[in-house]
Amino acid sequence: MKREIPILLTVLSGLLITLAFFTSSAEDSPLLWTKAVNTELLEWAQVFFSVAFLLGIANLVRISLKQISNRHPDAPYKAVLLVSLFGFLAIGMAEIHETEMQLPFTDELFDGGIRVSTPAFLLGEHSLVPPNHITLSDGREFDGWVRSRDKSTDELTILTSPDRQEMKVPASDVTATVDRSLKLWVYDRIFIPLQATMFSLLAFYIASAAFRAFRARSTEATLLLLAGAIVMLGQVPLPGVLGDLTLAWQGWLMAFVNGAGQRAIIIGATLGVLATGLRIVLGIERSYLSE
Amino acid sequence: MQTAEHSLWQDVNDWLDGIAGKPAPGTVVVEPGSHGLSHWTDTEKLPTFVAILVFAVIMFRAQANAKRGKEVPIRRIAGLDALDEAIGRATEMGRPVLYVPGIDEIKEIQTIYSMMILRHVARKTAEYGTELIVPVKDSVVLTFAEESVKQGCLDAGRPDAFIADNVRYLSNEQFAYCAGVAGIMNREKPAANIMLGMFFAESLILAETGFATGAIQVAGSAKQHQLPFFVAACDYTIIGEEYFAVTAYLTREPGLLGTIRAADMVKLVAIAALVVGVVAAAVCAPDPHTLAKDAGATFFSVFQRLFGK
Repeated sequence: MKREIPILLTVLSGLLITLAFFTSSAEDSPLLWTKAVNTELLEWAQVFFSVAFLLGIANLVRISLKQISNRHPDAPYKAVLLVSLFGFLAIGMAEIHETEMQLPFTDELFDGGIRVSTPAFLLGEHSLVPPNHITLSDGREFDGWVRSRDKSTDELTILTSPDRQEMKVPASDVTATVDRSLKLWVYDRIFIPLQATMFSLLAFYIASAAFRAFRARSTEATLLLLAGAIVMLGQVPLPGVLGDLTLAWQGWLMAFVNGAGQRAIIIGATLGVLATGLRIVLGIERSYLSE
Repeated sequence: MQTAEHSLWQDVNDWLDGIAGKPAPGTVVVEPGSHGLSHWTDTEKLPTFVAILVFAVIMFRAQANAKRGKEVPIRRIAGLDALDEAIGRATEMGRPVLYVPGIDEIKEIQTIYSMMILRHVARKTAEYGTELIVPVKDSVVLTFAEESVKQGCLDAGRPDAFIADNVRYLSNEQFAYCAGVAGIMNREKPAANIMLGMFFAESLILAETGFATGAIQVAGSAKQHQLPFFVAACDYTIIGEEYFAVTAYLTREPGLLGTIRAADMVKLVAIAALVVGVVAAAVCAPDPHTLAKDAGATFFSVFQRLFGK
């Protein structure tokens, strides 16, 4: 039964979802329930994927700790990885806790932006928590941290930045705040630049790959070189007739030669996807399951 | 008897209109409450459903023929021959094999298929006693990859060859995963990089990093947008439908060979339909004002409704 139950679940859910795809969306369609089941199954899948995320973290932590304890040459990198992982998790968890405490009044209060009430322990002398950008109804704008709300007077206590003066503002006067939490600060100032750095490597790698690939060693390589040269020249705003010619040739190459090749690959790949999908959904293909 | 004003193709057009719920000219309007096919199914997708059914019938027929012993020849595919060659090279050099199953989730068919190929690669590496490293981007793919490697080692009769720490979850973020794989390539220096699955912008970074380390690289994807980068940077590239022929090519299992044959037969049908469609578009020149009377234009209209969308 260890294999039969997963196969049965695969077949049933696959057929149900396929049926939902072809079902009419008419309100009185007798098969409309398949669409509701389809939506429900997809939501369940989202929950499973979220829970499975913990498995990945467990695998990562286990392997990293093992390499650190064995004094593997990669141990320093693993240590940095674990510190980053749990540090960012802690920041996110701390802010979630505070936000949940303040959410009832912030939702009533402001029109736009995400509101975060910064925990007091993060607002020390040398706090790294970036302040929110606050806009009042009279047009004044300043940076500050929302400390608390007095429900009896409906006033917000705001600690301004950078002078750290306390001011009380009627809650109705505040029209907008922009969330600048520590979590977002780390994301914007560390993660995004790192991501951009990796992405920017592509420019150099494209140049090195093109330098190796665009060599006239054979007929096919020569055609590749010529086509690549024409397409690149077509992107450059050359003056006069030369510009018109390269643009026209580039357009023709991309629309007809490249387009035809891509469509041929798409047709073939789609048939492969269809065949594999049919085999999996009908339970014929089982090699991805354990035996 | 058909008149010049009402050709065979006009009849087919009217029939398609009926399926779609549109009343044909001159017929009684269907009253609300009585239900046709459009009440049950989305008639716009009917051609797709019929196509899938036809393909399924052809596929099962071809599989049955292959299992009965009918030979199904497959042309030589250099990239697939190179898989065994790459693993053998890594064994000779005493360095590991790196298998990257793509960056998409398990719900992508290419990722599922990559797990099937991983099982075969794991069997080969277990037979040769070569280390296999599998970095993954998704937690669910991690569980499938572990299971595939484990099964591959069992298939080779070497359950002890499975090293759980070699199937590693790196990150859910695209470029963090890419950086992690590049780090593995630079530090552990695998002799063979096998990259089969769904890739996006990180494909060239991985391929170039692998080239810089001197590894033999076999890459493949069924999606066309990253293939040019693999062709430029890797030693062997498995393109499009060749990707779904990997297990059939390597195992020569009759059922799988039959699937390949079925796909080829449908491709022939698609080519024929393309040729007919091009001729119809060029010769018939549909004019909406004469649609009801012009048999050629109606034929093109029917053809477009069946194959155009």
